[in-house]
Amino acid sequence: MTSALPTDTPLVTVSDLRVHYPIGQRLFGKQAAVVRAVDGVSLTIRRGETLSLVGESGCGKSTTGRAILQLERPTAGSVVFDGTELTTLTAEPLRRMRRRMQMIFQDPYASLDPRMTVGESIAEPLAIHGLAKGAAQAARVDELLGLVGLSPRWAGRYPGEFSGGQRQRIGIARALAAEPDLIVADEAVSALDVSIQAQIVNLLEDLQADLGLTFLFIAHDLAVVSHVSDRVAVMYLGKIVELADGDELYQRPLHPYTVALLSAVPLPDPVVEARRQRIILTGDLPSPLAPPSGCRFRTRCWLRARLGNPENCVTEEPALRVVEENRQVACHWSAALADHVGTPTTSGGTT
Amino acid sequence: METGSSTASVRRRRTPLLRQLVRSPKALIGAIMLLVIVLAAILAPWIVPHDPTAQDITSTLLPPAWMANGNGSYLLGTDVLGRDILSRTIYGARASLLIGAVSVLIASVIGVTIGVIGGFFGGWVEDVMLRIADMQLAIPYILLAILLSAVIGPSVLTVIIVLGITRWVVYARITRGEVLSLKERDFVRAAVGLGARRSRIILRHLLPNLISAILVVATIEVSLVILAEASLSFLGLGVQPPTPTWGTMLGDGRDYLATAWWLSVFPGVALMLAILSLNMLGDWLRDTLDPGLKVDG
Repeated sequence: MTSALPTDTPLVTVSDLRVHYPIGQRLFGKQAAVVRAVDGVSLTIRRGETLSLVGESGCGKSTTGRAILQLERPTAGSVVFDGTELTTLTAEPLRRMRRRMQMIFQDPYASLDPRMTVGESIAEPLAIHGLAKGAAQAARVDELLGLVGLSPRWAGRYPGEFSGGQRQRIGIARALAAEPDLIVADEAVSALDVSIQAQIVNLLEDLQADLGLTFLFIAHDLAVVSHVSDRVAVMYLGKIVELADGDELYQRPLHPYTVALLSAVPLPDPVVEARRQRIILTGDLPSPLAPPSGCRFRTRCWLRARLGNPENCVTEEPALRVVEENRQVACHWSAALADHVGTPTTSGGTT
Repeated sequence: METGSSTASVRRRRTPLLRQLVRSPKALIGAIMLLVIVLAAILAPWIVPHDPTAQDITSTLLPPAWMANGNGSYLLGTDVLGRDILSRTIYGARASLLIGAVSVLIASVIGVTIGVIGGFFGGWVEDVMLRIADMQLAIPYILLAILLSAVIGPSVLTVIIVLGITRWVVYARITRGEVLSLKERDFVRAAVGLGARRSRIILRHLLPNLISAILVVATIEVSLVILAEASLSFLGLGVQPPTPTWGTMLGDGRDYLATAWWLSVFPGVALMLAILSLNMLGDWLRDTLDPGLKVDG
């Protein structure tokens, strides 16, 4: 929007982002263990697009989102936002930069200050960044409430008087108040009823079209993501395993983990749904304290089992490589995947 | 519910506090009780039947007027020196309430400030704060009282200063704990994400959410402080006789509990009523200030 850079440069470029948490006591400088919540994530977010980041609980997707916004300071790596490196930014310039990147939280019951009226909450970014005062501020709050489909008359009420869906709308209005370029929506709909989810997703889509927003949409549910995403990044245990255009990824996944995730999405057509084959992953997500050697997914990989447990999955970590235009995948055997998708299976990953 | 106009409604919609007070019977009773006590304290010189320090050697340890041997002119009886219990109790409210209110205010301001800073910034700041709190607890307040009395002389002011600067630890601990949990809450993170300065986060998000916890502690502390004043005065470090306070009256009457119960019972009842009214009012205030708990009607 306000950038002097050409519009084809990405809004956000994340390179080799790492967020590690040391746990346990340091004894004589020795570190007990390190949780590698995010372990080398690289991605770009283009202007005006919606990039979705999906993966199961604990894969580091929310941490990635927070690290991009510097709400969690990354251990290593770089985040370039519209030409500015954020990871080395000091407090005050970063604080001013926050006007341009906002967040929508997962839990609408926790993300609003219970002691502030809805109007005060929405006006907060305006006050913080000195964007509007007095009557102009009140007018902007009214406008924002209208924008998210709430009555301006409710500005004087407290969050406790609203339902979850309404509160999420309030959270969205607050995120929009400062006219940001980037909005990170961290599981923004997963705490809501299914019917409300659709409303909120539609609202976000409309707002994107009207305001030219760029979204990073973090979710654990591919079904929700499918409506909104231009591109989808699939995360597993702190790393991106596949990154592709939304339609491509849904129709022709190239990573066995993506295949498994997609097989869990119910289909609206009852005939097709009856034939849908589920790949149920066995076991839990391995501990990010000690990720498996080689490919991190190998312990639960159904494809590896079918291929007769090839050795390089254990010895060699697959890099996220470009396989086609706009397609990246981190699997040694993605070429062999096509032969195995669609073949009858009762459960994968066993043996 | 109210239907405010659509413009300039960012500020909170608030029913006047007084009108809310009238709606709650419990709070109303508490407020009236407290008002009566405070008025009595202020108007003491005009309403007391006797000079609270005037001794009457001919009528010592008289029981309350309605008992056998009671004297109509000493409604609640007299003490060892023949001083009127009613007048002393009314006058006692002055020093006791003043000490209770002011030292609790000082202690809570100190404690909350230290607690917020410690909890919010964490790290070595928090460690230092906790160690200072431990040190404060390890030093008896009596010691400080002796020191201060030696320097500025024993008086109501001495008691207020001593109790004000020694009783902050409980506020600091509670505040720190609350801040630790609050700063992990999404709305505080959201404020950081919005670009709020630390001062804004502390003043606009942390403090308003701390008020309930602090109010509960403060109402309890008022009673404890009034009693602590009694011990200080008993040791001669606080309010000097013959100025009456509830605490000193309780202490003086202790030796005569079996023979002349009225010496300590009446100031005790006054103290109890003051604390009860404070608690009733405090409960109501806490609930009223918490928008999450507010229910229609």
